[in-house]
Amino acid sequence: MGESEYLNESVLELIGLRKRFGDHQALEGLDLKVPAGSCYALLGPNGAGKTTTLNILLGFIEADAGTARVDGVDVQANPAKARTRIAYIPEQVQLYPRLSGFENLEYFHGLGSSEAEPAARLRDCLNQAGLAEGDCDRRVAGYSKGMRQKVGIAIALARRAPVMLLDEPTSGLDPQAAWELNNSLRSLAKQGVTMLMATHDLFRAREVASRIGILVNGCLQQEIDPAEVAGPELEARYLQEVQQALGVQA
Amino acid sequence: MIRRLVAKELTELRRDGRVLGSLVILLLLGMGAGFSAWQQARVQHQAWHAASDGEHERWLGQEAKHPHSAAHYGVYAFRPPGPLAAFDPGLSPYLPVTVWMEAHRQNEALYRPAQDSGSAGGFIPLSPAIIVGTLLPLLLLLLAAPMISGERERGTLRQLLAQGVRPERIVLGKGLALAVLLLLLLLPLWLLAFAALLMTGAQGDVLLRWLLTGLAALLFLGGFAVFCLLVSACCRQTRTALLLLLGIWAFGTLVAPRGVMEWAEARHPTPSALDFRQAIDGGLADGAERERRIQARAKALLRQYGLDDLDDLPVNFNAVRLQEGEEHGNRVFDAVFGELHDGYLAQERWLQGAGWMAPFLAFQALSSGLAGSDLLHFRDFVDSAEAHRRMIQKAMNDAIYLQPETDGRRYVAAPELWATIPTFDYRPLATADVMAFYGPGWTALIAWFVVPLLALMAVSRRLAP
Ligand SMILES: Nc1ncnc2c1ncn2[C@@H]1O[C@H](COP(=O)(O)OP(=O)(O)OP(=O)(O)O)[C@@H](O)[C@H]1O
Ligand SMILES: [Mg+2]
Repeated sequence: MGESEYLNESVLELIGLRKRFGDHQALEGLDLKVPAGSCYALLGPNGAGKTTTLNILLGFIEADAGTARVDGVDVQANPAKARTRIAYIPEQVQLYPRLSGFENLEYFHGLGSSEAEPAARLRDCLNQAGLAEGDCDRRVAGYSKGMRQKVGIAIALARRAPVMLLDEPTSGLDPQAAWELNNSLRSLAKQGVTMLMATHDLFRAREVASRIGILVNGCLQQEIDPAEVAGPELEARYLQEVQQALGVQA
Repeated sequence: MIRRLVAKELTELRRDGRVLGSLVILLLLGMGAGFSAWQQARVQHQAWHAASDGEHERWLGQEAKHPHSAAHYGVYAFRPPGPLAAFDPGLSPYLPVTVWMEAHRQNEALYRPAQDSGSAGGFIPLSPAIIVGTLLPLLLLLLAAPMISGERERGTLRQLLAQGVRPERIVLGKGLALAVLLLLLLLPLWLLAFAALLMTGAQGDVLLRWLLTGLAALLFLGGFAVFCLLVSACCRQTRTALLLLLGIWAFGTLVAPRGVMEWAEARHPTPSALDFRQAIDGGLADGAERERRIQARAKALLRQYGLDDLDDLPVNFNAVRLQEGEEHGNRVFDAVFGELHDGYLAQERWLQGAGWMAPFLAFQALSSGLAGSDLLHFRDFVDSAEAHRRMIQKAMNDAIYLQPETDGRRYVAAPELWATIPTFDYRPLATADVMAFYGPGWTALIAWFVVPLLALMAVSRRLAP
């Protein structure tokens, strides 16, 4: 197998995913592939089905139809095995309020990996995520939303998984932290980590992603190579897609 | 990994001041209740010792008299506190402490039955058994209800699962953390009880009872903890889990005991005092059988000695009349009382069986049984006292039998005769007999541990975030 072939191989593969909640069709045959070592940004209005897609990849909800593969593992068949390949930053990072940020990281990380990690490396992850040194050992009960988000990012970074799923990772982050996160993601991609990121931040998506998909009503409307479009044009195309799709529906 | 899960749970609980506070309060309550119950048992024990000795002295101090007068002189039998009465006074406070032993007086009306305990002013003394049976489950419930539902509600369960943690492991970690807490609560009480037992010189059988009581408490509380986790694992919200468990707790400890007691009474009704008295009086009044036996004895004796007149016999035929009268009374009482006692024991067994419905009932039955403060022990005591009474009557009548009153003078026995009667030295039932009676209670407790455990294992494999 040649190197270029390997790079083109899809680590995340979604084929014909469908999911219905009651009488609402959340996903309507979603096809999506993310090659190894690249970052895919999923844009779309609220309720488009971004979180649902990530939930299916995590095995938290079962798709009605279609296949989801993570690093070659069929999620429906073996969700536990698929999860061992994934690091995940949820839409809302939830932590144990009575533990400190560091203790939370230590706990989540310790449970997720078989080998013990030196405390110094875990602290590095917190720093990399942008949490101030002085905040690491305070109880999470006193954290701001962005501080919690940073701990969530640190948990995902520490995991060193081949796949990273991010659900609006920059929500609540100050610009400085968002910028640092983008740097981290770019260096992760260089290390071969495959990323799928749901986001509303067009600007950051263009900076970090190697491919952008616009999801509306559970359907991928358009895929864009960010290298080929400028910021304003991306926004225009996004708005056009959304309005068109919603207009068609109405 | 399991160690990490347990350590985190314990850290969180430790940092939650409320948990620490309630643990300390419960421990203090348990120790206080244990101490006061122990004091009470000790006082009863001392009184029992003193009174038993005093009674025997009084019996020995009788002047020379006719043995039947001595039989009517009577003595009290004192009931010692159960071996573990300090842990569980059970029915003891509602049952008589003494039984009067006199000629023709089978132990009547002393048997205050179970239903009295329910109506005794509604005051329940806070014994260690009550604390273990009702308050510890309440604490466990408050700790366990949010354990899984809370993580689900907060979203941390999702994050844990996303880390690739196997859900069974998460549940196991919670269970072990609860187990550690449970041991922290139970061990001090258990060891204190052990120290108290050693101080009073208990050994062998009593220590076995102590061991088994601890086992019953562990089974009961462990099963309840597992049940709480099961409910927590099935609920989306902590509030739901809490409400459900509180309802179940209230039903099991407040509603069920009352209801089941009434149900038991309905199944095995206690005869009214009037019916009971009538059955006894009717039986006693019907002296035909007694007369037949006396005639048969008379005929046999006359034939044996080749005489025609009872007054010529070299033995005292009055003794035969007295003994036959005694035995007639015994038969009537054995039949009527036996039925009453059996009815009570059937009720008691029914209560144990109801342990299938609420494990608290099974635990309560077991703990009072092992403590020796249940009806089973009381019946054994009453039976022993009655046997002792019969032994006294038999000894007195036998003495009379050997002294024919041919010259018309009444026989006067020397005080040496009184000394042939041993002290009434009651020993509680052997633990093996107690265990045999409480088989259904143990089975119910074990089932209440195993079934929720199996269900929890099944649920935890498919734990949804
Ligand atoms: N558990 C659920 N039960 C019922 N409906 C659901 C459930 N989860 C998601 N949905 C519905 O599915 C649709 C897609 O939801 P999803 O959370 O995937 O949107 P999203 O793209 O992540 O939106 P946002 O940008 O607001 O996070 C929505 O209409 C939502 O109401
Ligand atoms: Mg979402």
